[in-house]
Amino acid sequence: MRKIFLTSAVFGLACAGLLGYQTVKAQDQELSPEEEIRLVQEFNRMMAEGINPGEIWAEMGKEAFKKYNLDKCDFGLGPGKVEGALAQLPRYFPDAKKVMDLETRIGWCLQQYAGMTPEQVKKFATQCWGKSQCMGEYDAIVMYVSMASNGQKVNVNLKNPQVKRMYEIGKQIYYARLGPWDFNCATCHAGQQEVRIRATKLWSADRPGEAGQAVSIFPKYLVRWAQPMTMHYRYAECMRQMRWPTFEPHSDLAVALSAFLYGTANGTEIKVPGIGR
Amino acid sequence: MRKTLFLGLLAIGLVGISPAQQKKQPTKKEAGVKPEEVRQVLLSGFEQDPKFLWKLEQDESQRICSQYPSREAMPAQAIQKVIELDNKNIVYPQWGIFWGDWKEGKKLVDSPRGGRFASYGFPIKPPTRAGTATPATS
Amino acid sequence: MATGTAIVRVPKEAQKGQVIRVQMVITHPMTPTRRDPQTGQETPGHFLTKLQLFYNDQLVSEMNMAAGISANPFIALPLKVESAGVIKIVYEDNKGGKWEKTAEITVK
Repeated sequence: MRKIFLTSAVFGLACAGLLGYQTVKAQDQELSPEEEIRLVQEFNRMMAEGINPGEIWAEMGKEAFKKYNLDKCDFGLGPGKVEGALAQLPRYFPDAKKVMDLETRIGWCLQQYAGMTPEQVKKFATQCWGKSQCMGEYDAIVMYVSMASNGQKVNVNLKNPQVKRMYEIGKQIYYARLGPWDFNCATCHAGQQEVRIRATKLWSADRPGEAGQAVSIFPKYLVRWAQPMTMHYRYAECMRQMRWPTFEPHSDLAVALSAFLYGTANGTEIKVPGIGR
Repeated sequence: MRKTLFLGLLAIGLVGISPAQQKKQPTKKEAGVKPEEVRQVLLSGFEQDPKFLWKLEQDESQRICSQYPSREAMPAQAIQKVIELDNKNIVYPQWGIFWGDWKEGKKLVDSPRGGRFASYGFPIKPPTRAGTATPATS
Repeated sequence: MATGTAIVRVPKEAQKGQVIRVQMVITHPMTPTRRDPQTGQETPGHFLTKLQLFYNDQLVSEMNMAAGISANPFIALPLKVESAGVIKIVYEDNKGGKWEKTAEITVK
């Protein structure tokens, strides 16, 4: 019964939306029929999937973005331009003379344009770590910038020698056994065989496409903590579980791992925020 | 074994390939990246707490295992070397290893009244009433 | 922005008489009332209690909630639209918070 209702509602929406878009867009500009259909299908898909609570952080992030003067921050496409920013990160930034990923770049820009010291940036970035239902501004900024690239494909430029170097370093660290338990990232996230933790199937960097599916949905809204989790928080949590030393966010290690993971994910469509346990 | 080795190599080779360097063997040391650079990046990524920096030191068996993406991709002599190195680290209990006689244990498990850890003193005989669970019948 | 922020999403356009889904997500901790087993002390819960859906200032749906609903709830309610108008939700929680949020829809 509910299924019939849902499918008829979606079908009705599709028809209505198609007609609606034609009339609405006729007032703004001329769109090709394919473009209109794509917009309608996109909207229908969004309606069918519901709303991810992480989108509230994205709205919060829009204000925090201006509050911390991040509209002067260049993510690689020009100051303040966030559409498509996540798709081409990590990349080499000549003004910082380093390869940076999204969060490292936000941290750097906070130091440059919001007058924060590195310690303050670290405190700002980790304000929600270990908490639940935390409406943190840093998570909000990361969510806002990440959502602006929704629908675009990950396109890390591995031809740049600096980025390539970071990719290789990240790959070596990924497979490097360390610590009292001889753990590395590959212990869980590599190999051809499917591995599980309880009921969750783990993605593997050696099986094609899975790293992309895992990484293209970050920041991910976690139901168990009722807040989004960013990439650096995920690194910190993994390293805590591996009994590696305490992870330092916005470090070169994070950039190396991000370069490896996003480099492996090249071609995957970004779909932020994801939702998980 | 050879097939998984080939798949493992193919996986690393495909991932680590670049137009300038095309290698078919496992990427132990990529030509562009020195171990010192990796070490430096690794050290910078953690809180510099001297109590825990020992965790970043790799011993020999960890170093060998780090060169391969998984156990399937390791050649037999590397696996052998790691087993040799780590056998020295196994600490046996000081009173020796005492397993007991497994036949007695099987008798306890198979008996309809046994199977509980304190049942070694009880007489093992079939129950007077039918219907209690017996092994390998249901 | 804090507890009680909501996003309301409706289709921009609908046909007359069509049943649409009004989707909303509200940030709220939704913690139940807890009693410490040792001391017997009660920690009062913080959760949404009521959600009302108004269509052109006419009450259409009312939903009573309690702590059984998980944090940051996503709610979708069906609504039959006859004329263009404003969809408004008014929601309150057990600690006296009361908020509202609107969205507009046009009808062909």
